[in-house]
Amino acid sequence: MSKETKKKIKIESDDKEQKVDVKVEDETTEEAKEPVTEETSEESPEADKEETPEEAAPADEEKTSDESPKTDKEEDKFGADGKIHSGLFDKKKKEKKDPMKEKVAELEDRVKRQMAEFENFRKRSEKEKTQMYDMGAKSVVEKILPVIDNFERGLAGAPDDAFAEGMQMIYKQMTTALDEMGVKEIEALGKEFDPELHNAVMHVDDDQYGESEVVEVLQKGYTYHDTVVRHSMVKVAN
Amino acid sequence: MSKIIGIDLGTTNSCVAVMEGGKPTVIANQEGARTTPSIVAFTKNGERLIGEPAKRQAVTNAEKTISSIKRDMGTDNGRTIDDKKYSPQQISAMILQKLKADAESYLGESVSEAVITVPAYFNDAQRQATKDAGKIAGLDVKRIINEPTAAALAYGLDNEGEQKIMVYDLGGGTFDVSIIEIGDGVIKVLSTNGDTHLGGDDFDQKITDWMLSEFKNKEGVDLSTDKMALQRL
Repeated sequence: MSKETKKKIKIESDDKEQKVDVKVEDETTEEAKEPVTEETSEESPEADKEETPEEAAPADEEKTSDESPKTDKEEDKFGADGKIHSGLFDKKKKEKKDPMKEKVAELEDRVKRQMAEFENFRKRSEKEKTQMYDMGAKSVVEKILPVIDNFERGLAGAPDDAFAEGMQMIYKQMTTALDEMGVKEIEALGKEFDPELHNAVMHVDDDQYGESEVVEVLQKGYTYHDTVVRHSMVKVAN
Repeated sequence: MSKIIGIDLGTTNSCVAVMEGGKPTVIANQEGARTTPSIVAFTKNGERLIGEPAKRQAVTNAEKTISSIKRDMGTDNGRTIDDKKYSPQQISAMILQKLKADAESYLGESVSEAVITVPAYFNDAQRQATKDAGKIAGLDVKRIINEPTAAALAYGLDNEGEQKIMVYDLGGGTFDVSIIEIGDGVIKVLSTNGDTHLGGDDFDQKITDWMLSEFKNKEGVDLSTDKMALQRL
């Protein structure tokens, strides 16, 4: 008899499986999407990470077990056995399909990681984009600073004539322009040494100065919009 | 699961990187630099400074500034500061913590696992001490890798079939040369040697000295007595 019947059963059950499959797959995709959107909105990354694997685990299982009947191997097994209760069928299937399940779980895990990585990358690029202008400006300022230094050195030793006065005015014009851009000199002389702003290159023990007092500025430091472009090179007492 | 960071815990400078899209990316620290000085300092106010700020105050706070702690890894030569004794592991852990924090702020997620490189000549005690430092810093150290091995891996040399290569590692304070053998995905350090007190800093000093003598010859001015000029050099 039974070639035909066998076939029939096979097709029926296949259809059934297919239907279930589609339905569940929709659910899983929805579920899978959710944590990702949560990640974008939430600030704390720790919370995300704890959630994602937990939600991912059941989704993995559903998907793998339902997808497996599509494979040839599964159909062969069913065809050979003829009538098998679906309960037993499921059980056997699960046992046999372990490597497949693992593979899917592994791939799904990888996709999730890539998504998370991409999301972080996107956020970071956005942040970097907003910082781009400041970073560019900062590096230009950094290049200009030695010119200012040399202006100051030159003017310090210049004779008191009309030419020097002209240079003084140009120097002033330059520092004003920088000042308007947001470049400010770091105050150091007489202040308490602050490693965030100052770079100590010399130390002196001298009782006439206070504790950690900056007694000499060897090279002026500058900030640009509250970030240090160049630290003040200083001599610190005590 | 979070990302695993790779850390080069150096004698003078340290560096942290992460795999992104299959490629290693060096993570810049909070100060914007790609390497962080391996220096820890305790200020007069009891504040703890690590990296660049620690380096900037080293001159004026020498007795409470710790550098080159890597040389003491695996020994009991801790440092005592403000009557508190710190083991080399603890000091190293502070540097690792700073690198970890920088990596976390870059990645936007917490980091709990790391791979740390050590010189090929490190013995078991030194490797264990490095691992312990990681643990103290809250990092699960997945692997301790030899520095020359890491260098070979970075160049993808493990995919090029069997070969022997020589790796030069010129650091800020040390210079290592290793000969390693690559074959069948196994990298073996055959021999390693070097000078633990020769590095880029010595080169800088030599160049400075040369410039001083040149200037003296040409202009007849001895700049070595002029500290401001020395700093500029």
